Amino acid sequence: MSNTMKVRVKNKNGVVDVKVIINHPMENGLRLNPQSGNKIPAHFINQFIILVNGQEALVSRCTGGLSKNPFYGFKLSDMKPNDRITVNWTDNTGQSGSADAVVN
Amino acid sequence: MNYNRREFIEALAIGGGSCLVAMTGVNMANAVELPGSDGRFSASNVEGVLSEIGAAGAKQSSDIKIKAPDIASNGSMVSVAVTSNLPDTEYIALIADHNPHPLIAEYYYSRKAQPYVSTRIKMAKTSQVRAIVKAGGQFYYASSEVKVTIGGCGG
Repeated sequence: MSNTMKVRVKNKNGVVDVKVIINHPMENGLRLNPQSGNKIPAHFINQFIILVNGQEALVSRCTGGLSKNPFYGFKLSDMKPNDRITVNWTDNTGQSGSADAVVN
Repeated sequence: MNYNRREFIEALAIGGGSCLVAMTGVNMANAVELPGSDGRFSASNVEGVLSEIGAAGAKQSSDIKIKAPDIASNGSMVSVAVTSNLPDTEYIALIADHNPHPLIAEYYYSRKAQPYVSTRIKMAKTSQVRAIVKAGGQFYYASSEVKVTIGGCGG
């Protein structure tokens, strides 16, 4: 479950809407487990990168301040059909995920 | 260090190679520049975050648009979108003033990416949501208040 992600791209006259949802708990390390009263360990995505044809278009650093199963919406310009968009993420425990989408 | 000739040439080749890689790296990243994160994410108040980012003297700008609800019934999922109409925007940071760690996320844009982000954030309680924008080497900000009826940061 934790490694599934969805990437949607929509091309409007060269401007591509990129929408990404990643299944991830985004625990900020501050919440308490209601049963044990212990803190739930931090587990959140801390880096998120969008590449266009292998070149970095956008880099984001984030925290557990983003909601669970985070959503990211971006816009890329000067895009052509068949451009390849790659989304990579890494979390604070070293897990990572990647997905590709091709511009229509 | 004592090199004989062969070792010296090898070292030179390796050194030269990594120089080349570093240079290509710079070219590829071009507009995406990622400084060290320092203490910006662990800062516990807005002033701390701003000084870690280097944006202490940020000016308010009406060219930054924040789309956020006036009232959020659930602080664990607040939809926020930021658009910067400032020319040469290279950086946007999202801050919720009264969160335990106010800096939520930061985005570094190349020229390929439009200065826009839409995401969902957690908010501990009613506070200002701020967008800090770096454009043309200067920092600007805009803010919008979100009333939170149930906090979403736990703890």
